Amino acid sequence: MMEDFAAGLAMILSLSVIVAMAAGTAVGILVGVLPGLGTVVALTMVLPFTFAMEPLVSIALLLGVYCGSVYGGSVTAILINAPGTPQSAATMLDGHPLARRGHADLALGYATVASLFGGLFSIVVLVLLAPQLAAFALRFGPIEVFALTLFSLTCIASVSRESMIKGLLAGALGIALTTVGPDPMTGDIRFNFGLHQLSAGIGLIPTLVGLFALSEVLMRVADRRPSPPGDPKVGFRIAPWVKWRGLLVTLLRGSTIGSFIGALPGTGAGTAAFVSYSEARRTSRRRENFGNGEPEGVVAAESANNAVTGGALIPTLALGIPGDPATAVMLSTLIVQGVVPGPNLFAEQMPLLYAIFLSLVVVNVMMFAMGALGSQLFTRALRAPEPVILVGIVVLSMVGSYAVRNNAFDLAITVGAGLLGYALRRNGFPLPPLAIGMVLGPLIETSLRQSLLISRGDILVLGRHPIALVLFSLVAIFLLWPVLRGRVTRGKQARSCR
Amino acid sequence: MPGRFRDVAVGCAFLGGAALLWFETTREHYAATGARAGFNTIFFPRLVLATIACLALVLIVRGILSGPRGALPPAGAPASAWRLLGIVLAMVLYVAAIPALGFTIAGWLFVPVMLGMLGFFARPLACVAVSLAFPPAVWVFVRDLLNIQLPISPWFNIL
Repeated sequence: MMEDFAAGLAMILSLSVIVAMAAGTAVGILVGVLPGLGTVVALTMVLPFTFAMEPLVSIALLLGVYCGSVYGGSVTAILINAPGTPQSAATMLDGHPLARRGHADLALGYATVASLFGGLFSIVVLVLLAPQLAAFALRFGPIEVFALTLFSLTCIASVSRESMIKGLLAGALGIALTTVGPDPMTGDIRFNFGLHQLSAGIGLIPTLVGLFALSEVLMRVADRRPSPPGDPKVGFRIAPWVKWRGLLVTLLRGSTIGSFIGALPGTGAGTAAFVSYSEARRTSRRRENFGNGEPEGVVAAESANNAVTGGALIPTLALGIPGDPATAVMLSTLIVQGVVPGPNLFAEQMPLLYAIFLSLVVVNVMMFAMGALGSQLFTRALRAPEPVILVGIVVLSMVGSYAVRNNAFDLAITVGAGLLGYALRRNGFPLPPLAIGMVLGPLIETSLRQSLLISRGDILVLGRHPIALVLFSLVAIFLLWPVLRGRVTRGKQARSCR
Repeated sequence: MPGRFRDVAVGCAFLGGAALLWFETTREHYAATGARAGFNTIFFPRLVLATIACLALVLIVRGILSGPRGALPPAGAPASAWRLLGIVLAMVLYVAAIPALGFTIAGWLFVPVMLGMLGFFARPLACVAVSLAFPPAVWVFVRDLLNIQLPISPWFNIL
């Protein structure tokens, strides 16, 4: 084992691999920072270059882009309330309020450290548990995935804050929006109303960018909302150890959730971030601060979405099954390079495998360093006059929305989503449930319909699978938890009064 | 609109929207689409629409009985409806202009208009500098550095 490890270490200690990791991380962060341009766009941008590279150099480049872009999305989410990538939608919930209070430097510090921790934790899981987790992930059929997505939907309850009905309505609206376009099972076109542009569906990225970024611009214009007092703190600041000590459990829990959900094919970092955020809020002593700039919310979301990077590589490397679209791109590159993922990779090419694991560690450290340095630059943008910031948000939002599919109709969707977001916010509707609905909608529909097809319409089949049964029980417990907690609190108060 | 009826109006809008989309699912086009074990292409959308309708009804009834709930946005200075309308109109025209004129030329038209509406004309030099420099800077960064395609002007190949 040590020989393989040493051979792997020697492989990554070449100039070309190190340059590839640094370049990939830098490109990933830059693309992730632009609102809307996600990991897949970043990976496909560098993909043509990999064909002329050696296997490990190309893998190192892609790993850098992958991890960098997931982290980069959080920068925009924190600074301008627009998710740079869908994975960072949960980071906005507390990251942006913290930045609005003048602590952008601290918010980025929390996000960067949590990202590093989540990324490194997932590598440990990848090294120690890849074959076992991959085998367990194979037990997740459509019924289990449906149960997991239903479980993820309980996040809506935790991000709805004051009005549960409005949160649920926003979540259902998000799911409804995902039903526009091709049926994921049959390909039949739904709700296009004769507009061929709608036949491809309503894009997730243009909608999220419009919902959050443009509605934020409109809210600021309409309300002439005052900027926070004093200059926003620029740069990068890591909170003192005392603060981190209270966040260790959240870090570990978020990283575990991210690594596990990442290992399940087809789920993704967005789901992991919301589940982790929801869990942190449910168990936190400061749960009433969530949504108002609570660092624990940032740490929960960021540790989970970056832990997905290692988690998603588990089925990719151990079984040859991509965990998400980003790892699908990486899988194709591996195959083109002559590296065939699967159980044999673990038996026959251990030095290469160790080199990949070590590259991932180095990439995460580079991501931390570049994030810390880049934050000095990114946060300086906040010192620009408010009108310039607002114009910048609109222009960059349009760039991001257009670039995903090179489709001018997506620009109209972005503006429409901006107006919808503004109307919803004006009427007290929380936007995060809508984002959760849009992220989970296609997964819920596909898994539910696959389950019903397999069981020939027998809905009771959902309760016959042990894993699904556990997840359904957790859904029931989490939904009843606020009621139970209320009763316990009232009981305690009554006893103390006596 | 009095706050009491705000939720009722929003609930009605959701209910109306759900009803409209449900009506759409009754079109003959959908009846012929891939039914498998009784679950055709409109099974899931109808499930979601029924959920929306139920939740909207709860919102309406609750609004009638007890007035609005939920976190309304924090109160700022009085909203400037005309300014907001102007910004929305500028955004719509910008979106229409991007494919027609190209990203940079549309930006040159949109950026000064929006900066003006946001009161940045008080600093004319800065306004001109931002208006002139920002769209091409984004163009160069996104198109030349990141190699991401943006709509090109029909007249000038470089913008």
